[in-house]
Amino acid sequence: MESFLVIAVGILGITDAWRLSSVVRAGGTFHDVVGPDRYLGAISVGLLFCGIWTLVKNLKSVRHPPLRKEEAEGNQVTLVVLVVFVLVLYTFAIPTLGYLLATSFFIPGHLLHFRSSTLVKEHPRRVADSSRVLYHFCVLC
Amino acid sequence: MDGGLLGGFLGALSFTNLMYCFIGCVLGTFVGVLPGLGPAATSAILLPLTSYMPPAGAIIMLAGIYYGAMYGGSTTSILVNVPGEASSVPTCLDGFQMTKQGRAGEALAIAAIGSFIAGTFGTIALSFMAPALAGIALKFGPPEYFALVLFSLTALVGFSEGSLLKGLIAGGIGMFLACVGLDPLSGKQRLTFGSVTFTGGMDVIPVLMGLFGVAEVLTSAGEGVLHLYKGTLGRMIPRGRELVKGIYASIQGTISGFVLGLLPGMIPAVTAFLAYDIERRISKTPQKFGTGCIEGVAAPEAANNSTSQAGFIPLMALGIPTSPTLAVILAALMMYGLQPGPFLFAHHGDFAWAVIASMYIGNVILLILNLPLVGLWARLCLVPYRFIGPVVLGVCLVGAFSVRNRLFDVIACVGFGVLGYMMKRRRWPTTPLILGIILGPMLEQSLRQSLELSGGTPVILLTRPISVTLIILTAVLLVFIRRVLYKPEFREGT
Repeated sequence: MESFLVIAVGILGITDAWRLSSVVRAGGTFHDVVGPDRYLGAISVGLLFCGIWTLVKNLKSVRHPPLRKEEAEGNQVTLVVLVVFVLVLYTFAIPTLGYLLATSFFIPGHLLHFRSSTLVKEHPRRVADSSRVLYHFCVLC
Repeated sequence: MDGGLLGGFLGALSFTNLMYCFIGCVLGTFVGVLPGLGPAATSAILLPLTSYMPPAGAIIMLAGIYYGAMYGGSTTSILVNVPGEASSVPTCLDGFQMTKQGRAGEALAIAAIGSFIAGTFGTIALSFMAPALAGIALKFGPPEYFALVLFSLTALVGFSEGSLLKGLIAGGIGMFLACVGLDPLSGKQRLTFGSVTFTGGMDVIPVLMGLFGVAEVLTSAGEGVLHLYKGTLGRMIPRGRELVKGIYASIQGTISGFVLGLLPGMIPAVTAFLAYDIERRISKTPQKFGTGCIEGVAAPEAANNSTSQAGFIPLMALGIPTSPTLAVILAALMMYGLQPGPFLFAHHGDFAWAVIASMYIGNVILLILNLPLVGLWARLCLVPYRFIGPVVLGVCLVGAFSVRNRLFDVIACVGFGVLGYMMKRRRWPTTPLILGIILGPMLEQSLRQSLELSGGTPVILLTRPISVTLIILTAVLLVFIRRVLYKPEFREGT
């Protein structure tokens, strides 16, 4: 998956470098050999190349079946999703509720959330289902 | 030079600067003891707050956090077998064994003594070498800066954890992100896609806070409470042959850590391992390493401290950070308009010498803090992360907002926090990304200025002696990295 992301970043950079090149060098008066366009283009080409190389390496390597994840690791992923969700909520709450009010809910709310990590460990499936519901709710919103 | 350093002591011994030095040392020891929170994250979190402090005090405090963490990291390594810092991982190998043998006190003492020897040596070398190197840097022009930054980025990518390809990609992405916003030379918009929000570019402070602060909290969120070893500490100071062996190992660690620490990419975590390996190889009893050998504690602890001090030399003289924490300190210097490099000593000598003098004082403070108060520090690692995590997150987000009063920076902080977390889980190095963001603009600007000077031909990079020397060193380094560092037997050994 990382390979595709890197390739996408490379393509994005090349596209913008192309656009910049047509804007900057159109008049024929721009004398910078490297310029903002070619520098960006060079980095993007490098990233594209590295992304393709990584993708080819991954495809060539022998695939082993994924190991069964430890329950603790599954709990941590769920915890992280919840933490990120709360962070995003807090970020958007600041301009709406104001800094004081948003932070007054954020810090105690987060303390309670971390305390309830025992709930995550004891009932991982229930929490995972709730996280999924929350995620779909956010997508709908 | 003497007048400068004496003047520096006058500045460092002022009540305000002494207080900031003490706070930095205490905070540094605190974060060094706590697993999961490092000096880079702490410095990044405190960076916005330092804008309200005088420049000397701010840098003194941040520097104190950096080398203080090296002192503190050994405490949990020795007592709990959990390294407080990555640089204290080798200390676990012999330190915890010494604890199980009832010699925890000796291990803690030699770690503190070795750190003090290394820290003092490093500061003395910094006092002499930094101004000398800054004098040489006066001859640097754009081609030399381009070659130097290229060498630094190559070293940072090559010495980072994980594969070379991952390091290259991370560095490339850092340089890519640094392109977002207005081109500094032509004023053209890059990667903004017509959005006004992106025109301001990525500020380095929210990125640092996200990658270090938020990512660290996300990584540490699931960790459980540690259990402290409840046995006796035993004798507090090693004696006789043990003390002599410990001091000799400290000297070896100091020298190897210092020399390697001058190179970009050689962070304390790397040099500590190398010093442990060197000590084992030169020892007459290598089979004893890993069973409670005092040299196995002294060498890495001395190395990580001398590396942390050595890193200030290229930072102050050339403006090149050799580790993520120093990158944060560089960001702080730039925030105050203090461009590190040859003019730092010429135009802001009082400031530079006060920072250097404070390191002498800081090392004494840390020795006093770490030896008698070791029991107190050890108990700190029992604080559940559920109290620390939310506070750190809150400070990160508020700090990110305070930089430019823009919600975009808060979103960037969260986004980079998630990115940093994913990178840690997938074992991608984050150091090249940070340094790509910080050094990328310097690389681009120096390259374009060099080509402007030469009329468009890159031959200028090969005709100037310092520039061509650095480019040759970069090529040699690439060969070394590819042929030596990435051999399986070498990676197994480290």
